Amino acid sequence: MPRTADRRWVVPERGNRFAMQVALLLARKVGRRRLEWLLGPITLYFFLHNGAARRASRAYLRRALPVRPTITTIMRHMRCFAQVVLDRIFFLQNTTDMPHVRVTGRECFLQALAGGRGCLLLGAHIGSFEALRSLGREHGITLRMLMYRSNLGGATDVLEALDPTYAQTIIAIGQVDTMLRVAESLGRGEVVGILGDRTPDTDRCIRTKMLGGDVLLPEGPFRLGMATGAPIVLVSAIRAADGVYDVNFVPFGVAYPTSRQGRSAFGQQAAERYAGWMEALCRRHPFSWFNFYDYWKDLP
Amino acid sequence: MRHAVNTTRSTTIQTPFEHEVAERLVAALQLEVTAEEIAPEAPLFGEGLGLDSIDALEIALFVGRDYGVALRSEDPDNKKIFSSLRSLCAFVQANRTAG
Repeated sequence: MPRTADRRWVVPERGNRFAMQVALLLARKVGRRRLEWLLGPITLYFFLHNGAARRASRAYLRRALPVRPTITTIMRHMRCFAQVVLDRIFFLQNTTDMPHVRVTGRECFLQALAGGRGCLLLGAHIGSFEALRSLGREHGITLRMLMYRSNLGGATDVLEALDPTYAQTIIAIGQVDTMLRVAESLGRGEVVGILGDRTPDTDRCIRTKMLGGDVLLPEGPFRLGMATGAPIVLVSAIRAADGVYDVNFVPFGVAYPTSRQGRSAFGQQAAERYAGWMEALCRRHPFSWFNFYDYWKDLP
Repeated sequence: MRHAVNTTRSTTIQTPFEHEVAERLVAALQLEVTAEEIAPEAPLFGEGLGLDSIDALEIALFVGRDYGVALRSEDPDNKKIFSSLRSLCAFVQANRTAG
């Protein structure tokens, strides 16, 4: 039952792949810090070649910033993205050259995990989810990402070249037994990561408000939580000015319903909570939002 | 995905066991159709009933709970098992009697 992936996703991933291939070439020869001079040209390329991303950035920044976005702020937004993509390479390589990670709210995550039903780590395309890998390794926790494999496109080879275990850490969406795999993984006490801010179709999603406009969020993560009973923990990893990634775990705080009627209300409540969490992150770290497509649609 | 016409059983009439499973299916998944409306050989996922992978998990949960039959992700036949009410029921019955 694979539904067709939304075309607009291809745009950020293409830029992602370009940046990765260029950077990958040099990553083996040069260190992370010495590669940062590349970010300027990459940003400029992205800015000039990707009108859709530029317009999406402007539309987003208009919502997230207290002032009108300018070319400078849009460039800054794109540079942040390029920086995180570059860092991603080093997170995957898992060498001493990895960016450092600072963690807050670790207890709430470990506590959720101690319940024995695994844990659903719910993130967004804000900052870097890759930063969590190093944390997982540190705690001996198996982290699997639930994602569209097709969405990676040609980047899969690049990712696997960087981390040979990469394929095993992915649970591909789109198979009839995808969620059986997820439930089994959670049953083994593992952690399953989901980025819940993009939806491929409009009939299985929830409409809610975010940054003053309507957005559509997938209901999947919340239905999955209800079906498995695994606790949801919100997680973000934002690159701070000093180059360290601030990983922050936050309890989801919306309890699973016990009644039948509660089930349908839960999705809406959960989506509102999630959107509120994203909105607060966007206000605090406006340049770490990495959905470079028309996110706020004119909904009827 | 269309199935070849089954000559021994009706393609449109549910067997008693299929009806029982259909009722549990409608209840567990909170579907907006009645159990009778689920054609035994119509696809459950995608075009047919429009179920998704989380629904498949819900099906696996009630099948495990009510019939003691485990549906596992490593089964290479999952696509076939979940293809229709009929194939799901055939799998459940085969594994229940074997077990």
